[in-house]
Amino acid sequence: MLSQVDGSTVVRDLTVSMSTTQGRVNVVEGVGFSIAPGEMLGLVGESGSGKSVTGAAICGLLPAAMRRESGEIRVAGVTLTDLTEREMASKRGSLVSMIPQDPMTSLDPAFTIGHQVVDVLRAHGYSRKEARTRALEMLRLVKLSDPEHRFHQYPHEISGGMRQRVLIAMAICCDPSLLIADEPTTALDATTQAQILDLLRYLNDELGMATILTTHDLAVARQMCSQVVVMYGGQIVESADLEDVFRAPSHPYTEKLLLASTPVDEHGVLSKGIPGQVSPVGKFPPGCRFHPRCEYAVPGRCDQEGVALVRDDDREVRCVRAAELQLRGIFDERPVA
Amino acid sequence: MNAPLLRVDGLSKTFAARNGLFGRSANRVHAVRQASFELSAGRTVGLVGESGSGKSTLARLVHRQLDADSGSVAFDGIDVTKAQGSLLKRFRKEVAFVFQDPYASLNPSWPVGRIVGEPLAIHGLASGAAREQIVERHLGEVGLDPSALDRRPSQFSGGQRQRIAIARALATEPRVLICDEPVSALDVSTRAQVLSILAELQESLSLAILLISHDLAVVQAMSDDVAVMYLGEIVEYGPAATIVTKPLHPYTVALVDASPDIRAPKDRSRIVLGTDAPTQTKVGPGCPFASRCPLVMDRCHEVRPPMVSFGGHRVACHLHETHMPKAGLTPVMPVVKAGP
Amino acid sequence: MRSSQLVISRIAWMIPMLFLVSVIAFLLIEMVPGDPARNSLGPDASDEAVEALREQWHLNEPLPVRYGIWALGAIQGDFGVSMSTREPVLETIFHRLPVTLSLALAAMVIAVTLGVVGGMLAGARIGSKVDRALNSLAGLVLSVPDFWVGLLIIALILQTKILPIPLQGYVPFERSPSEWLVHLILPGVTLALHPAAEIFRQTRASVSDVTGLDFVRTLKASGVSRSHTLFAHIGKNSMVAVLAVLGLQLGLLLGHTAIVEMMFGMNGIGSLVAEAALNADVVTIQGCVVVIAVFVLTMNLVIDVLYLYLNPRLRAK
Repeated sequence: MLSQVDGSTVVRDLTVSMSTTQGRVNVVEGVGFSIAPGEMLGLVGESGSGKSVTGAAICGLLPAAMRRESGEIRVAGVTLTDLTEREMASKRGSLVSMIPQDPMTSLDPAFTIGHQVVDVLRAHGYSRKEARTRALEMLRLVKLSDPEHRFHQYPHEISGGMRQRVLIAMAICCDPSLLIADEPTTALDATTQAQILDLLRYLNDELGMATILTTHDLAVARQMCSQVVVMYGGQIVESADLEDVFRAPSHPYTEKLLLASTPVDEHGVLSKGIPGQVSPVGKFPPGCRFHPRCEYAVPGRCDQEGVALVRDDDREVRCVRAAELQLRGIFDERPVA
Repeated sequence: MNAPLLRVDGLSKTFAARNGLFGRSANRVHAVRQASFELSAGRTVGLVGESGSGKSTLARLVHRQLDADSGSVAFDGIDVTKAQGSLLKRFRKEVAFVFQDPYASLNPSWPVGRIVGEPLAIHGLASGAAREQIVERHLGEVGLDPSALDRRPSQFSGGQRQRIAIARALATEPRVLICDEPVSALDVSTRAQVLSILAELQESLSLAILLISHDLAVVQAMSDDVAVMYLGEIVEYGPAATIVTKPLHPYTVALVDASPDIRAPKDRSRIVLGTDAPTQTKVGPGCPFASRCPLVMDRCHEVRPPMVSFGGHRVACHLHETHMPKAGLTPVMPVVKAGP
Repeated sequence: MRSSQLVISRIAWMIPMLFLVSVIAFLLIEMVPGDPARNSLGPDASDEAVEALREQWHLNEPLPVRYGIWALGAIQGDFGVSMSTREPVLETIFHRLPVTLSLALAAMVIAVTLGVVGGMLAGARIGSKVDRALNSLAGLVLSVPDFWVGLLIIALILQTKILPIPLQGYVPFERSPSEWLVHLILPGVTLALHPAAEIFRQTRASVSDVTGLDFVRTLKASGVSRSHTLFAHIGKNSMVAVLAVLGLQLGLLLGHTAIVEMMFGMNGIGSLVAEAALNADVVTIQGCVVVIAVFVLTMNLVIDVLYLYLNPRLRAK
């Protein structure tokens, strides 16, 4: 799983900085993980965790204010971090692909959806005729209803769920090895969300890609992913096989996040959430970034510099107290304190 | 059983779809049709539905931000459906609204103290030092300290801003709180925080809360009773626990099934609902769900299903009419193994 | 609404619009000082002769009556006779129309080309050196009168004899297409300066806005090339706003031809209006105004149709 085997995708020590009025600060620090083909990794975190920035960095789509400071990204044998922008541009769509978050704004309103899929194919060398055939194939693959007719429709004429399918078609039409799904269901209804997630799983299995799913919804992660990487304040705080983590988390933040994901526990008690909020970028406390909000924090240990990500067996945790704490998982019957 | 504080009866609203040269409405959108429910002090009614269900429109109708075409809204026994002037103002003092977007519902150029104090000014309830004291008290109720008074919304996080919005809503000491998707724009942990505060406030102030959300989990967490809406109609209404464990309407069954549950096993089978949701203009004479329902019968396309009651649980579906064999039982829906 | 419905309704609207324009023009011209009759006969004419002419031209009638007389004739295609040259107005106008139209066309083509291309280059790289340079240039152009720049260019060429371009006159297309084109270069560029700068500004702003939209990111993420994204996708989406400015600019342009025509010695509608104004030749002015109005309205209609093409959301469902 997180072994050193040369899997399909390997990210090592990724750090991304952002320019602010106080100079450059790191929004993502020392992030690393690996995914084998056919696997789905959940990149879980809330706002300010850096999960979306990580996804963007892998695709080389960082906004102008941010830049990659260090790290290595390797997908299917190609070291993306060594490529020039031009070389990277040709790899987007064919090696690494991203499914954007908001289906309502991510399609060009002035062109038909068929045209947009064709555009992607032609950009990767397909002839006009080949592109058209394959585009229709793709629309069928993503189970878009009535694809021949929809091919000539404009984005505003189809629903959000259908638009999301088109975006997925655009992302996979050139057979990428790595797919990054950025909060793919945030903007959708529950019933549509379920269908899209099922589609993603099906495609992942059928096409044998590796997929990174960024989400703040742990229920979605559980449904889809085999591994999970939990991020907080730009760093990885826990990383392991998903079922293991959800059953018995090692990091207090993971525990609290799991609790908050079940709004009402078996005893009918409303979850309390996590007190306070994440520190703004660049203003993190010394030591563990989560400790001001952590109920298990111990002064003298948690506020000391150098809280590192420690590997233990198949799990990585960034917590000095990990070995001592007995944290609650989702199947825990013990009542909340 | 306390007398209902807010009573909504047969509320309906249509909009003219923009069509034709001069707005001649060839198609009318039935945003809300015949909605009825009651709200009592200290209890929460959750309104759940997806986009296009009409839940936000219904919330606005209840709060008199829009005028209904038919039906009535009564507060404390008084009909306020067509209230104007001072009656409407009094209504607004007693029934407060919390909006969905914490980034857009607060004036970015006003300090928090002024924002929260505005309702007091509008209703002439307090001024000067007295007003400031009241504002401080309400900010404290939502867990914010007095230093927030002079700061601007941009200096607060999404969750904090939503709490400010709640404090503002509470400024006039209302008896009813209408919350339109109050936590949709927030992170999971902040969501829990804000809901938790709402629950505490409800208990200490005996608030009646109308909670609108597309997220069944949110509604389930807070509500005593739940109304499920589909294409403008309340298709099912009942106690929160029963709605989720023993849903009666096929749509509710599908909705419960689709809502992500972190404890559900991974590769379970799923209920599939034909096509994606239709738009509101194409509602025929029968049941609004007929075009998508896997258990549809001929009757469903022609006749509007009547509302049938099973104790405190009511549903509008032909499957549950008294003569039907499976009336009162959760319908069994066709499932598909994990796959698109 | 259906596109065909839109077009028909717009054409139908043109009639009341023209009516309104002609009424307003009539009223405005009324305020022009001077007695057309006296102007025509000269300062030495006798008072009786002037009075007789005034009667003949119905100048003593109340305003609505005079307008009515004119309108009645106009509907039948008779725009009256020029007060200074005694020639039928419509004939004169049609004779001079090709000149103005050629000039306007040349200016439009130059303005749109410079403005749109410049705007796209600048808008796609806001803040860059290219952008700053072009933007400053546009600002400069807008702050000086265009005919002043025209004069400058004439003087420059006269002095240095850099380019063998003709500085004056107009050659009809039928006589010699190449001569026609060459004679239009200088006046065309002069007239195009301001519209080009405005179109540049709007294009730049539009392109900049569109570049920040989500779907552009999707295209980049899918591997679509930068140039294709810019010219096809960003281009099509930004053009809607640009068209709005275009319509406005073209209207202004037609009104602006007068000075340029006079500077470069071209006998077009613009110079006709200018002469007529100096002579208080009410009839000619009125005729020109209506003809120009027809062109502007038609042009705006064409632009509206283009809107529908560019923005599918406005089309019929």
